[in-house]
Amino acid sequence: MIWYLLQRVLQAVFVVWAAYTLTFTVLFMLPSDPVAIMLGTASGGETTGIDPAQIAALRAEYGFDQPVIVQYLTMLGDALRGDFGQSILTGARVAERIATELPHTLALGGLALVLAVTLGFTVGMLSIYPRKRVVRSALTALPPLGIAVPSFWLGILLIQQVSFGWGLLPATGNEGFASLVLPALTMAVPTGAILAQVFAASLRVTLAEPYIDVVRAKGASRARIFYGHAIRNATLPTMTLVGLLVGNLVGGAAIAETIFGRSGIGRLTVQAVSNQDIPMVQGVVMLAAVTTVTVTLLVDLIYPLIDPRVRTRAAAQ
Amino acid sequence: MSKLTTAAQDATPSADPAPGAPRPYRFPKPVRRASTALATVVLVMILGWAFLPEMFATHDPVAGVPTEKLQPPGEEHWFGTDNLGRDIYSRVVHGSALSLQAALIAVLVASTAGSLIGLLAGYLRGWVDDVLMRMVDVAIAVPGMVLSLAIVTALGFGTVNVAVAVGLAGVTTFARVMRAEVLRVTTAQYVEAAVVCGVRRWAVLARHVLPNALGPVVVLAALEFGTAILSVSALSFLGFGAAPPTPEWGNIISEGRNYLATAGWMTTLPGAIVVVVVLAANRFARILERPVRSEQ
Repeated sequence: MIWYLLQRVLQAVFVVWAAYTLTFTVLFMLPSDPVAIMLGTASGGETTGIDPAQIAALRAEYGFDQPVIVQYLTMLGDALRGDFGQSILTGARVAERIATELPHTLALGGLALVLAVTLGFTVGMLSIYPRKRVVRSALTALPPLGIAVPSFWLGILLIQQVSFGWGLLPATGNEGFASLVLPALTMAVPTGAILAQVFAASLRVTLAEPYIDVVRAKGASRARIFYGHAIRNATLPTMTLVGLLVGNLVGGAAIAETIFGRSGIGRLTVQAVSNQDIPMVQGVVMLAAVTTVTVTLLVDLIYPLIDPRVRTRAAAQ
Repeated sequence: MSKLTTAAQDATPSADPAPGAPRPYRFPKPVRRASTALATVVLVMILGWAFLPEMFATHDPVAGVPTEKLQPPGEEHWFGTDNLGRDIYSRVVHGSALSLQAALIAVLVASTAGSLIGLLAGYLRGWVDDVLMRMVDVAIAVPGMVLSLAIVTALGFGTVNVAVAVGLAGVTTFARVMRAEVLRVTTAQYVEAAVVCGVRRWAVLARHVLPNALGPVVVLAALEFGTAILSVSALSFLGFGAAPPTPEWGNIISEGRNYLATAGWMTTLPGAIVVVVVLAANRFARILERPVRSEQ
């Protein structure tokens, strides 16, 4: 068990390191020149006619004059100590900016996750459980719709209806729980739709298992079969989706925070991309990668605790 | 772990319930036929918009009439007009070419690169498989949207760059599906027979493995098309797609953001078109899926 644990943790560390290398390659090898971008913003868009000595000085200051491998190793060493360099736009430390914005996005993402799970399980359950066909078919049709709706458009509709139409919740802002509801809902719908589909399919498979027949033969009621026996086993496969869902939320935050004018990691990312602020983008990508890897690792470690079959098989190997 | 993955696969919507299961509710045949017909109509119409925008548009998509600005939908302007007096319906029609092209490029990039990786990994096995699939694992660790944003930062803005970024973010899915299919097909008896008969390795791959592994990849490509429309328009909405006067579905919706309270039609109707197109595309993917599923 300890070996298994160690192996999984090492794997996770490897993936994070490789993700860092991947983003370094993508961001620093491709044609954009950070120094040109920096000077472009500093002098209001004029990149021509700048003193070459000034360019050289900036290159030296940021280390861009070093060979690529030296740049890579220096930055990797800094990153290990939690230093992701500074924004080429504002000069702010990347790690500090991310730390300031993170709480906003954590609150938003947390609520979105709760909403997504609630929506997903409720809709998935109700597309199987009810006896009335009309109800089932109506609820089966919901997830494909949720998947087809662009989340930015959904957010706009929510603002139009709930904020402007009914005047219920604030359309923009960072203050209080009320301002969290609409953006969280915007993020939760596409994620919840996927979850609903997977859960419904898993419920169908579970209900076909022989042990359900045994339970039915023993005279258990419909509700007892569902709540007492089917749901718990049907929930297991959805656990493997959790990493994906959390990753989706990080991307969703970029859209939700932009539409609802909230500050947070998503907004920071969009600003960084707009200004081609490469160190900032890299910081955010690494945050997303570490989050997904950690969540996936946790799920993998918790899974054997929930499902004894995985545990016994691992022991047998 | 293998049990884990099969359990996850069983749970995907494409999984067939075991015999004797309570049958998942299927819409009655006429309804299904009607929805298929509707999806066909939608897709044919959108393709018409993309290829012959002049025929379908009622006004100029870029030049506005300032005196007719912010008019609600009506007989003259079907989707209303925007803050510059441009006809929104005509902008949506002219924007479909770019938006569909971008989605198509994204799917082509993802399916070509992903299939190649999956094919090599699944067929050669050994260290090639290890290296390629570890790389896929790494790419999966970065959420698709974030990866697309990073690639757009590096490539620069514009429709094609956005399309390539969305495509690259989708490579991993294709690589995994293709690899699984190749692994399944290579164990088949006809492949063994071909090998025993002395057919060369790469000929087996081209003649027997690839054609038989392609089905699920084609279905995935069809499904990814709808997703790509959404991702591309999301990036365009954030301002990383085509530069302003050029219409794209994403930036048309984004332009209406400042007029939500006064001119809701600027965002509502173009967005509804995107939803309808994605629903129709996904419907078609499901139709493609049926023969592939029954074959397995």
